[in-house]
Amino acid sequence: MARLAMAIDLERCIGCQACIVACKTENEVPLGHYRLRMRTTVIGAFPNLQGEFRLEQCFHCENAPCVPVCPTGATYINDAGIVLVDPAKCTGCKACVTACPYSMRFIHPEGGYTDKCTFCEHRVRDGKMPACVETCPTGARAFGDLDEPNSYVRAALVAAKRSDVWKPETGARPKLFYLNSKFTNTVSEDGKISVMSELHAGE
Amino acid sequence: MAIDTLPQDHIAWADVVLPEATYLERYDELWVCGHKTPYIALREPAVEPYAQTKPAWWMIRELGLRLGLDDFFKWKNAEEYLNERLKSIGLSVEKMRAQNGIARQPGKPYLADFEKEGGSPFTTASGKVELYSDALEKSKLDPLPKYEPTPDAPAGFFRLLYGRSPVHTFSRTQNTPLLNELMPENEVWLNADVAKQLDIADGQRVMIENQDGAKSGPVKVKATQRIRKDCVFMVHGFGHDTPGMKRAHKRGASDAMLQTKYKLDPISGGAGLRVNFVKLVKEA
Repeated sequence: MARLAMAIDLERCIGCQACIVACKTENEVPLGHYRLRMRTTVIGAFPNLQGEFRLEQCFHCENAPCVPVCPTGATYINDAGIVLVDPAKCTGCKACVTACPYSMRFIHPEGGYTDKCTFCEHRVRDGKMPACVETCPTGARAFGDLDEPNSYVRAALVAAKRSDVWKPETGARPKLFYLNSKFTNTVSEDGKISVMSELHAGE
Repeated sequence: MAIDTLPQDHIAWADVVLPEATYLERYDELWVCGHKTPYIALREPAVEPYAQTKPAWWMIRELGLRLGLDDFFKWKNAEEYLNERLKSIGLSVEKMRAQNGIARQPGKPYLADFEKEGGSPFTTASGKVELYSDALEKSKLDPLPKYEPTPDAPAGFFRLLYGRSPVHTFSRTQNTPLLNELMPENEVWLNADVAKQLDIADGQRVMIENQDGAKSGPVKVKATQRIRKDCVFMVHGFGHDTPGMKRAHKRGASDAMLQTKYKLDPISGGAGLRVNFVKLVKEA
């Protein structure tokens, strides 16, 4: 049992969205749908501003709310800790779409099944990096096994000044971490991260 | 007559259009780079040209032959031409391919490389970076150039700034499906406080009109704190006018259409285009 995870260094992300295009090309995501999306947050007033880009995709939660709600067992967590959907078992009932705290699931317009980020399981299986990681021009994304002492993702988490996850209060235990956020004022005193929706306010 | 890889706006003005293969589908002239470490790079096609498109060298050669200019086209194709060019340095297209398409020379990347020879990398008289330039003085120019501000925007107008988005490259990717989907149109950035004063809502569409009456739009307003109050900003490359650019047609506004004025730097000759002023006109 591995625990594959990803970490995005917000100090390195320039918001170019090359990861979004790489994902769409690699996974043939239909026009009008995305497995990745970008949230831009700006706080302050001119000229004293702070901004941040957060790329969002399936967070491959350890306690994934989408798994128990699936009536057919189509959504599952594989041996590597990747949350996956078996299109053959999926009836397109959208229970998981509703259950996902991050709204990262959609119904494939032609297939009728739930679609979302797979951490490029088909590439990872062959020892390659997910397309978004490989394409990132600034090396903002680190990927690997949380249980593997020398993995890229662990090295990135250890080296980070700060790290946070989105909506920790849901108890879903997401495995996509954000590193080195500028928005220190949104981190509560006990080190837990605040709710992202507060961050939308700027723009 | 026009040559391009896309049915751009200026193509619509031409009587004859020669559709060109893109840079990934054709041979190009050698890339000769005279940097501190000089190199020559081979530019060859990665894929076959799309449909009936042709490389520019092919079009020019065919036209030349039909005009009786055979003497100027002693080569039959790009490879033959490139081989002739490479022969003088003992290389060929084949040899270039074998060395990953690049031929490097040692060069002089460090200051120490010049100091060893008792020279300087700078071609100035002093052999140093010159802040005060005798060469400029001799040409009757200010030897120590001072900043000269350009005029401020008149009342009711904003200075038009333009720039890029990481999603698009110049004006050529707005019609590309994946990139069009990510960013189908540009916006005109307006300071949020100013937008409130002008009673313009975020996302509202306006026409943009410059000091000479040139217009572009309609374009969405982005009311944001990310810009100063006396300027507006647009991402370049939008506002395509030709129906040939199907997805990009009439999406957003064109900064180029609003640049009817420019200023030249008296020393470098560089053109400054951020000297145009625009107003936002609400649609009726």
